[in-house]
Parts: sequence; structure tokens; C-alpha cells
Amino acid sequence: MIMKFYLIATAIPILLSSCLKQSIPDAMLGTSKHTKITATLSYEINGNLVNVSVDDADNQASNFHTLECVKLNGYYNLSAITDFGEFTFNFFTDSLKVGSYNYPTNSGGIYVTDFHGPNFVYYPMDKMNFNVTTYEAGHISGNFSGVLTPQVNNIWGAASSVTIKNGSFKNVPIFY
Amino acid sequence: MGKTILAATILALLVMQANAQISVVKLVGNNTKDYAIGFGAFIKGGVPVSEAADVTLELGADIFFMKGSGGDYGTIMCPLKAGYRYTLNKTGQGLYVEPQVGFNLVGVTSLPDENDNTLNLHYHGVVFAAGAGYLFTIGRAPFDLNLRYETVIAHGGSNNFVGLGISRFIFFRKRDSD
Repeated sequence: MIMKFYLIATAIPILLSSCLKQSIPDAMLGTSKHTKITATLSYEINGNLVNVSVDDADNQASNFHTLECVKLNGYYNLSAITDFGEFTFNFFTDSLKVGSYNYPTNSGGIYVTDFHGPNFVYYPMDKMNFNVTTYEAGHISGNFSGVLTPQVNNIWGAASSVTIKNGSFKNVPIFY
Repeated sequence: MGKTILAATILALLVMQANAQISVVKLVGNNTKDYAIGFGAFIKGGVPVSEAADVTLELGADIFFMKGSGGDYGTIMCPLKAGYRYTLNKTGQGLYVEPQVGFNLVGVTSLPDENDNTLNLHYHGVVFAAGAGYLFTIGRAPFDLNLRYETVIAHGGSNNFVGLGISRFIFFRKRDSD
């Protein structure tokens, strides 16, 4: 009986490591991939649906990435180019993990997105919440929501008048 | 990587002061050929739960340098593990087997990026290990010679290595037969 226990216990690490063929760094960098992965991002902004989908997201044109998350000095920047403009969110961390990320309340205004012209910006009274629900093989997925303030030519509009809801992103590649 | 090496050195010194364990370790698996043989340092103790078995607790650091990097690039992991060590002759001495499970408190891999800047990847992860060894005494000092296979799992990947170690073992309580 006890030997059976030890045999099983010995088999577990060998089995797990043989199933996970990539090393952790390779998995985080998303290297050694052989399949094309489609990345998506979608959300509603004041009731208007915005979405973007990128086939083979790991191999986007080198000078034009439509949907990506890039590790920069001290933070990660998720960005997307949609039919209505840009969308961007910064994860202020040196090491991105599964979890919730909010914008700081002491910011002086952080650009998030635009829609048919005006810029919609996070302002200290607003909310911008991102949840990373999975981070595997160099790709992140999750959901987000927020309340923003419009800004046109550096003039603020009605505070917290823009709502982002039903936001989701899937298989967004992280580039270093 | 410099801070990591400093932390590993401090831990190694603490380990030596604590009469604890050192080992040689080798990463195995895909994309590990660029890594040289590394070293590990541990503090490991145990509490006898029967004549044959001990529950063990181990805090360690394993460091692996990339070949030719001059110590600038590599991987360090600091796993905290609990194990159940069972001696085959049921005396608390001699050959034993020991499965362990735990958590990787610190994991850092330093690599050069496309522009030759240092890229530090940070991770944690669960740890599974399967080990076997030989417990013996020199004088009244208990020693432990062991071989183990260990895997750290995080972000959908795994770092796997084998280690060969020797330690002066710490018992937190004596066996009833001692």
C-alpha cells in the first residue's frame, strides 16, 4: 500500500513535467508555438459595440501590431487599434499576474480610448478596472469595465459620462 | 540578476551557518542546453511521525547560470516544500523515498532581449518533487545523501531539474527509540 503511494507520488512530477513541455520562460514569452492563436478584444462604449480580432496574433506585422500587450519599463501596456480609434490600458506592475488592476486615484488623466473623434480619458473621479483571469503561454485573457470622461482639444467634457461595459479580451499576446 | 545573485549568496551563507544542505542541480527538458550545472542551498528539517517516517520542511534556493553569460543571465528559484520521508527498513535510517509538494516563493529568469538588454521574468508556481536518498550518521551527526527530481509549474510551463545533495540533517524532535 505504502509503495503504491510513493509510486504515485513519484509519477506526479514526472507526468506533469512531461505534459508541460515548455519551460516557464518560454511559456511566458510565448515562444515555441506551433499553432496560430486568434486574439480578440471587445467592449461597449455608451452602448456602441467595439471589437477587434487578430488572426495569428503572435506573428503580427512587425511595425503595426493591432492587438498586443507590451512589457515596458515598469508597466505593461495593452493596446488595440479598432475601427473607431485606439484603446489602451496600462498595468502598473513589473510582473503581470492573474488578478485585478485599477488605475490610481491620483492620476492627472490617462488616455484610454477614442470613439468617433473625442478622446475618452480616465480622470481621478472615474473608474477603470481590468481583471486578468488567465495568463498562459505568453497570452492573457480577462474582462474589464470603466467610467471615463470625454476630452476634446484638452477641454474636459461632462465628468464620468462615458461608460465602458462588457469588456473582454482573449489570447492577447505579451511581447517583451 | 545581480540582486538575485546577492540574495542567493546570502542564503547560501545562512545555509552553511545552519549546518544545512548543498547540492548540485541540472535543469532538464526543452531549451535547457544553454544552462550550466547549477547549485542549490537548503535548510531542511524534519519531525519524526513514526519509527519509519518523518514529515520534512525545506526552504531552498536553486541557481542556474546560462553558459557563457558571465553570471549575468540565468534562473533562480526558491521553493518552500513539505515532504513525507519514509525509510524502507522502517528504522529512520538507511534508504528512503520522499515525495514533496510546495510553492515557489521566488522565481526569476534573466535573459537578453533582442536589444541585448536584460529581461527579468518573475514567477511563482507550485512545486512537486520526488526524491530518494540515504540517511546515515557520522558520530552523532545525522547526514542525508539524496537525489531528487523536481518540477516547478507556472504560466502553463514547467522548469524541471534533477539535484544531487548532501546535508547535515536537522531533527526538531528525537525518535522514541533514540
